[in-house]
Amino acid sequence: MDKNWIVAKASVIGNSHIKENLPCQDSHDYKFFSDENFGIAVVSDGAGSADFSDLGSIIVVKQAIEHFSKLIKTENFYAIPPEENIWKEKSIEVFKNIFEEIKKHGENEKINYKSLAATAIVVAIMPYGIIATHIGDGRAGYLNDKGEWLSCITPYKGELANETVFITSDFWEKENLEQFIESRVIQDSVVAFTLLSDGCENVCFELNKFNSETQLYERLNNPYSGFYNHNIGVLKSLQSSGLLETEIDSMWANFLKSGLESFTNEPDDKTLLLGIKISNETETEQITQTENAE
Amino acid sequence: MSNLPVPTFGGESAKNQEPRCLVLLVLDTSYSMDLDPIKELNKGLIDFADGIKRDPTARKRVEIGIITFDSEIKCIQEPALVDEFTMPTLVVAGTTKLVDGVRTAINFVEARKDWYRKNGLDYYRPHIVLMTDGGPDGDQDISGLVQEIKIGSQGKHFVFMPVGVIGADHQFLDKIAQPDYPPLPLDGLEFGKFFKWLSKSISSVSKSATNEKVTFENPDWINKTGWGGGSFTQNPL
Repeated sequence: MDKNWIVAKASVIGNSHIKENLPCQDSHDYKFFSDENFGIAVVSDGAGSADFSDLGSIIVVKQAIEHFSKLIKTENFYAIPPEENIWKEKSIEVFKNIFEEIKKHGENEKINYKSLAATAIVVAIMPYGIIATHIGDGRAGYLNDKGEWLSCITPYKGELANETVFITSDFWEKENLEQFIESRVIQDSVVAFTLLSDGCENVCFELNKFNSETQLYERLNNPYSGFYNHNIGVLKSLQSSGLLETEIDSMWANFLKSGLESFTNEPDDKTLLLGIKISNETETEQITQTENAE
Repeated sequence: MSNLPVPTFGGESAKNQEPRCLVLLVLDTSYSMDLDPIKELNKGLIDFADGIKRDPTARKRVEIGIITFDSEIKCIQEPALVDEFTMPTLVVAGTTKLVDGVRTAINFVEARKDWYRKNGLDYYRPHIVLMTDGGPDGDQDISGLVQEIKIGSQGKHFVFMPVGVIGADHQFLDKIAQPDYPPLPLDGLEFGKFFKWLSKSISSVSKSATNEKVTFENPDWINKTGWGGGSFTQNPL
């Protein structure tokens, strides 16, 4: 745990995978680089139909932490925000390298690389804000010092609810490659961030809302403050009470398993990361106030 | 550490509309379905609704619509979640305008998908379930329907599942069925058994994760009938 941020993180197996005796296909990690003062969080969700996607998501997370941190250091992105088109170009290069690593792994293990299909969400938390990039679905967002919860990626969805793309999908040679990889540079005062696999999105994000004027539901992509603000307060208390990072993660995993009815009933694997800034007492104070005001 | 109670993670869940999983039942209500068949079909429909209600996820995601065909095509039940309507009781009348019934269902599916899109609701691939104990009237455009089902199934616009009740025209059902979903014969008049299997199968679709392959259990009566059946697997794109 670094001294600037506390991050609760866990991946837990979904009910349908327990019934079918399948492993959890989600993976995640968070790493802070104190010399350069930035952190990277990664979430990967293995494809349900791919035989070794649990392994695929582990590879994606490990490689993404390694390659993206190297890129951020080499290009000095931790100090100076990149232009969005440059960040996108570099992200595509890094994801392509990870894809090549996955192919190599498939060859070594004599398995089809597509059986390692997995999504990827990469969020780097910088002193100036966030740089984010991703392939596939899942969600990510942040809280700024004005108390606004905002999203920092838009998931890629196919026509159907259960369709998306993976790092192993056939888009690498396509002319429209850029439409499959979103990259954003956000300059804002970030005081909390979140990443999640789609198994958590119904709980943690507002996805649609009824508009009484149009009499239609409208699609949303907003982190839900009713969920997050409470847990920011709890996380802060747990940290203050001296609990170890592993103890907090264990409580977080139990919460994802059965802490809310919607989590308990969720058939899919669930990964959720929630990070809060703890270095600035004024900012954390404001978070608590926001929570109390609601 | 202090003696104060350890705070617990919680908060509220966002209140979202769940993704929708549409099942459109296209049911034969011609005169040949009179007496026991229609009675058992009506009971089976209630079993279907009960099966969906028992699954907490399916209950919030599965929409059921009912179109009947005899001499006329009627939308008896607009697509709706199982808690939003009472299962209707079907009555028989007239001949078998099966082709028109299925075509209406295909149009309904597309209209409903438009509605989902306008409403920002995600949806699974809709299922059209045809149940008949005969074959279409002589003046019906069978080859046109075969083509429409083929295009719709291959384009993954919908899943087409034909079900044959005793007396069904096997050759016709073989002709309109797609390789992934061969015709499924009913075990006598055991509509209840079929609808229990269907509710379980559709529940598994409604809970499927991204790009997850869904394999339905093989119906346990399949070997008794000597016709139709097979393995039913829904592959992601």
